[in-house]
Amino acid sequence: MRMLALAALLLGTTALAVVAAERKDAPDAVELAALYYYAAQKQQDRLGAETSRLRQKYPDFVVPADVYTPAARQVDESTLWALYEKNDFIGIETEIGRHRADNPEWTPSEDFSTKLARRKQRVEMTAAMARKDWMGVIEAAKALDPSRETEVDLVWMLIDAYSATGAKQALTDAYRGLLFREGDKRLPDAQILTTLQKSTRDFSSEEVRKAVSLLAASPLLQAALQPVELDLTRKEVADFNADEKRQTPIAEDEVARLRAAAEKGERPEDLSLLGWYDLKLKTPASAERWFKAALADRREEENAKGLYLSLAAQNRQEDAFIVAEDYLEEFSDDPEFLMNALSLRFSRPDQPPAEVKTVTAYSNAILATANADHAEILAWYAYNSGQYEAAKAWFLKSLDWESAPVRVKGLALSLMRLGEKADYAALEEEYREAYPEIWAEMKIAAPARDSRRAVAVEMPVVTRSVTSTVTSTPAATASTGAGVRSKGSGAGGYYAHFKARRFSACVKDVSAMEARGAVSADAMLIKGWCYLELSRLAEARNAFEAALANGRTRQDAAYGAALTLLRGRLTDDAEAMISMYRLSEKRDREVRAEIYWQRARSAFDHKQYQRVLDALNARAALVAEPADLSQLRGWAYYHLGNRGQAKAVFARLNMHLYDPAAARGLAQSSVR
Amino acid sequence: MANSHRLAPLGLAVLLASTALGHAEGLVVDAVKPLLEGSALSGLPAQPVVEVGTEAEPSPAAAGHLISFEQSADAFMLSGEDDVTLLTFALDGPQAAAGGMLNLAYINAVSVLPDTATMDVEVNGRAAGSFTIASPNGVRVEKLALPSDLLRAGRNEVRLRARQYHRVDCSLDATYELWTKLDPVQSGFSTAQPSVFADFDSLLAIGRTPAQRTQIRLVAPGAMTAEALNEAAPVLQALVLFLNRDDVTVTVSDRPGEGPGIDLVMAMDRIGSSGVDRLGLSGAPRGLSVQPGATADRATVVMRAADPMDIAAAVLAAVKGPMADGLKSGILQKGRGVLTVDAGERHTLKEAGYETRVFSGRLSRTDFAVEMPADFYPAEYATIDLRLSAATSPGLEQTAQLLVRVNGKVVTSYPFRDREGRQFEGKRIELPLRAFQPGVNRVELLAELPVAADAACRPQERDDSKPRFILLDTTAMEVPALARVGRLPDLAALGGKAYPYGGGKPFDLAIDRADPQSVGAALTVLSRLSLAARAPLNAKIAIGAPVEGTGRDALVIASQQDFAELGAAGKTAFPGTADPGTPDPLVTASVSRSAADDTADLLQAFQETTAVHDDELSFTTRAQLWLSAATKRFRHWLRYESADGEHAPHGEGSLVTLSQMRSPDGIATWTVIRANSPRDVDAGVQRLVEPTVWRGLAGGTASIETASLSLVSLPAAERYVADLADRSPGNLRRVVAAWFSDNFQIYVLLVLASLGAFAAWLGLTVRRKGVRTDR
Repeated sequence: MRMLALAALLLGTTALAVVAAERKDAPDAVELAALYYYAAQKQQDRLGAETSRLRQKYPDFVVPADVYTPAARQVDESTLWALYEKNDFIGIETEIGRHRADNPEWTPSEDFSTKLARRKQRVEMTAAMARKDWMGVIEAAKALDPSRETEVDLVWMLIDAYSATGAKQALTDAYRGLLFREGDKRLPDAQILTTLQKSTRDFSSEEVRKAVSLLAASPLLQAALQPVELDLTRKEVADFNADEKRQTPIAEDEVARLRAAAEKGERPEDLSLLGWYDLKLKTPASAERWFKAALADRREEENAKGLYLSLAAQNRQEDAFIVAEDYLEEFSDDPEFLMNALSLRFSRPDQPPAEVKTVTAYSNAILATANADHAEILAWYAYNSGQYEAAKAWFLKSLDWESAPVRVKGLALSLMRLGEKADYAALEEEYREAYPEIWAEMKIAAPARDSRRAVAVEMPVVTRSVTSTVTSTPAATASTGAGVRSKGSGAGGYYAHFKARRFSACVKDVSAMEARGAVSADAMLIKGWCYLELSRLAEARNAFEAALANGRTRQDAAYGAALTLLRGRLTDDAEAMISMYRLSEKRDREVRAEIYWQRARSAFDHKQYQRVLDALNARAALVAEPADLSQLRGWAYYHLGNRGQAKAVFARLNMHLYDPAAARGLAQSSVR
Repeated sequence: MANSHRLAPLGLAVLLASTALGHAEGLVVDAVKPLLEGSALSGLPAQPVVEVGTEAEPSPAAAGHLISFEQSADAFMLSGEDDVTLLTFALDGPQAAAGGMLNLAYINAVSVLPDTATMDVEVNGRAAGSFTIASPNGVRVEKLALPSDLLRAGRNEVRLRARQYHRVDCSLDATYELWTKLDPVQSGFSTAQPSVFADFDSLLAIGRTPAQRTQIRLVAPGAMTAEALNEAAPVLQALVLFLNRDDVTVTVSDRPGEGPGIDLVMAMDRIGSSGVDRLGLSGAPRGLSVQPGATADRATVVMRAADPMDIAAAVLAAVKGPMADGLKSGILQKGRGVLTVDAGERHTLKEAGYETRVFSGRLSRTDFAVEMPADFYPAEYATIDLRLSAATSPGLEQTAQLLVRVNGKVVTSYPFRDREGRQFEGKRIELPLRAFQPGVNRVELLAELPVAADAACRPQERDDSKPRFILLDTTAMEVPALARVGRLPDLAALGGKAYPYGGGKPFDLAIDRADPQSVGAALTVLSRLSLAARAPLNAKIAIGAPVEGTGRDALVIASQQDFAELGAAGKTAFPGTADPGTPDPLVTASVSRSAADDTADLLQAFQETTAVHDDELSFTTRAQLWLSAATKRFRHWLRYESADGEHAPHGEGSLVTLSQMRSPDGIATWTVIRANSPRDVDAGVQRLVEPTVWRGLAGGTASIETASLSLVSLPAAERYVADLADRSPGNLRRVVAAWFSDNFQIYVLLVLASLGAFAAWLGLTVRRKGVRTDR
């Protein structure tokens, strides 16, 4: 029974449903797939068998001509497209390389190649744009034709790049290409509008107006150009504000339109713009209104400054001071401004007492700017409110920064009030010759006139290092320090003064020791550093030269002397100094680098460009070249007519860091 | 659409690429090559080449959510002339009710004859349609509409049968060039209803990561202590068993992840309600529950409990309750190509899921896995009998025969000499036991069925529809009584049955440092082992080196080379192993149940034998320990073994080395996974648990090469008896017989010696008594 069933199963021929193979005229890709495969595999017998199979199925079948060279049709670009979608250009390169290895004649399809080039360009431009590598943008956009490009945003990127590098001609061409297209190539109005808005940044208003008049054929566009008009006015106003020389005001109707727009509050920047405009036009009352409106919208440092200035211009000092006090934090970025604004409270006796934070901000600003005048103001303020310690400290500060008889007098008075007779005597000793007149007044000086309650003036504890062209801080010279400390403590603490950056006191101490006769080379060395810090160069030089006599201090002294000479721009003397006395390698390099830099600088000023390059090369052999020197180098090449080199230098600079100066250089050297 | 024309010659790139690789190799290799590289399809773009919708409806479901098949990538291959694969996908109620589309993205070998190649699709035992296999040039997506009456909530089975013939070559070898491969990424059930992860059954539909792995991320707020890991281990194992996927990767973190995967959050009471709030799980009920994850394709499994006992109770409740159906249709389901056999049993192919089918090609290949007991001794003392029930058709060549391949080696052949066709009913074919190994064995039945016309292979004479062979599902395997003795090291038994860690036997899982990568790797291995054992393992996780002298087996994850020295130096107690927080099991035995009993309950739930957990060393253990130490010392005297020769070295070019060895005290087994850094451990384990690699584990030491990531197995230099559970005389006799078959010379010597002894005795006896003179 079962046997029968099995036999039936086995004999039945219906077990496999043959899928109806429709007889078509020609085989499709599925049918042909194996043919190409066998051909590629060089399996001749299988190729023959497959051909006869296909012949039987499709009587008209002929073997395709490209069966052995399936280059174009067989290579499948889908992986390439997939990579294209992912912007994986490296992947595409490898993929193409792989195909090439199989099949050297093969190239990607036209469609793919062009699209790939376009995509590459876009990606490169966007990336360069993002890192503000303007040269990169221009480089990537080489193949771009502004007058025919359909993807306008690419041209806009290019325009931004030209604008940032200052390539005026190319910029104009790009704008022209976009704006003045004829016929059906003409850009849609929206894009023209955006382009025009962009152009207000790069061109004067007249030029833009001219372009607008050429373009504004359609009334629709005319209406749409309204914002461009406003932009132009904005630009004019901004230019007027920025240009110190311009004094003729802009046509009032234009400004009126802007005022109207600003009143509507479309853009808060307009308020500030008009504020500065009015301030410059000496209508501070109106400026005050604009700034107040702008500040009501948002707290902003610039606008607050504007408000302060407009109030000050109206002679409303008190109101102005309140503004400054209100914006203490914002203004702390600009200590100069803050200092000036706040000094009001301290400089005149008839002012109400200042607040604690005001005093703090004021003293911080003074310390930050190292402004002797304001230090003096604060010192007098402290003196007049009976805070003699603080007064003394601030007078000392101001003396450190800049010597003046009235400060010496203030210091002397403070010392007198503090009852520090010895110091007073020393001070008198020091300045008797310099300012003889004050000592007479001193005898009849009245006590502090004003004992009203005032906020405690802070002591000037922390000073920021005074900037100097020479970077090394002498306090860091450990060897010197070690030598001095042993005896320094006994010798009036000049070293302690030096360490604490009380340079006048340091000089005074050493001078006092000198007066007593015996002065060590160490002391002279320290005196030299102190003088150097005080920028009393001639005295510093003398002190260092005195210290040169001792073998132990010779190195340090030579170093100090070289730095002093450099500071005094006596480059050749400095070189002579270091060639006479050997310095440690590090210091030698530092000094030499500085020497070459000064050489290059002065050669550049004298337009001796080859000497600039020589100096720079000599310097580059010693230390790495900073960007500003590279720029110098670039310009030297440029002026020597070696544009290729100059371009290379600027391009390299531009790659590291965007710097308008370098970009300008690059643009210059790129333009023929 | 611009895409279609440029994508059309898609598959050729794959083929050409493959041919470039395989010029020198044989045709077979050529054709199979793209398959061996698992990424052959994944490198292709995601969009289908040709959308072949069924004409009836351009269903909106096509744009919906794709529930991929649960099987891992290597189940997606149909090779030979007639092959079947079984895939499953899980649906929830609304999805099953709504119906949808079955997407089958595939690519086939270029030599497949398009005229007759068909794929038959069966869903839940009912035919769902068929289509022509015709996509040699690239991936093509076939979409079959599945009405709701074909579907059911829970797991749905898809049985695919591919029948494909060679275009021009009718030889037997050429059948190896035939394949159709499904793309696991684009294939699956497409539905308009998104999966909502709200209950355990919905977890079965969880997606895979781009690397095609199922990710479970253990989220344990706070420090990663041995205590926290021991709490998480049972939950994790239950979850892995429930998912029944062999591509699970476990990672460890303190916050939930993103993308497809499951976050297993251990929200223990000690992190406080603020901690639970921070995890956003304040709404989760106590015990084990499922919540939606951070993204739509992520699920969160939350365990809220107070202590390990709480956890055990919650896991038990879940396993008996909401997880039961999934477990039953998954890990405990029989007949998915695997026969689990034991001594003296008889199993038919039907039990392995084979369905009788008429074969009309040249080489019939039927393969299934046979899971042998982990402690069986493969040697020549008996045979496994294959009882063949089949029939051949008339007209076969003389050379027709049946070959049986076990683990890739042909072990026996049976010629079909009868040209008139013949029927076999339970024909006995003997398979030598030695061909098998403990654990999983791959058995292939190959019927070579050439006919005279095949030699010429003229298209006009071919008839691929004429049946040649039929293999009945009553074909059976009969397993004899087996010698049962656990001989280690044996990584095949480890990979296939988690031996010697299965069966509820407590063991230590020592992780030498508690960084996320090492711990993730350890938990990944633990998950994979519990899947192999089909039951949770009774692992006690400890941070530090394994403790010697307890007689407990250990699994060691070591990312430091100097681990071996640590063990040798006698540094046994590591701070991580002592938990000051847990009550002393001896003192508090009367009031608290020990954690081991809970595991036993859990095991019971998995229908496994239980084991008594004995923390105290029993007398026998002590005796063994003493004995082992004594022999060791003795052997050491005799210089049979060097004192530190135990550890297989972790070689230079290896990413990770897996080696099994006797523990230094000599009474337990240590399996050590060693690498140079936690990163290597992580990467190496990921590779190790890949289904293809895991299946290849064998011998005493296996390592993953750093450069090629390929598996290198070294046979064990010397095997030792780790376990002799069955001490009945029968078993002992078989063990001895097996041993003699392995050590044949000794057997011969013994026989000769007996003969000699007999002769001597005879001589003596005869001289004394035998000589009689007739007078």
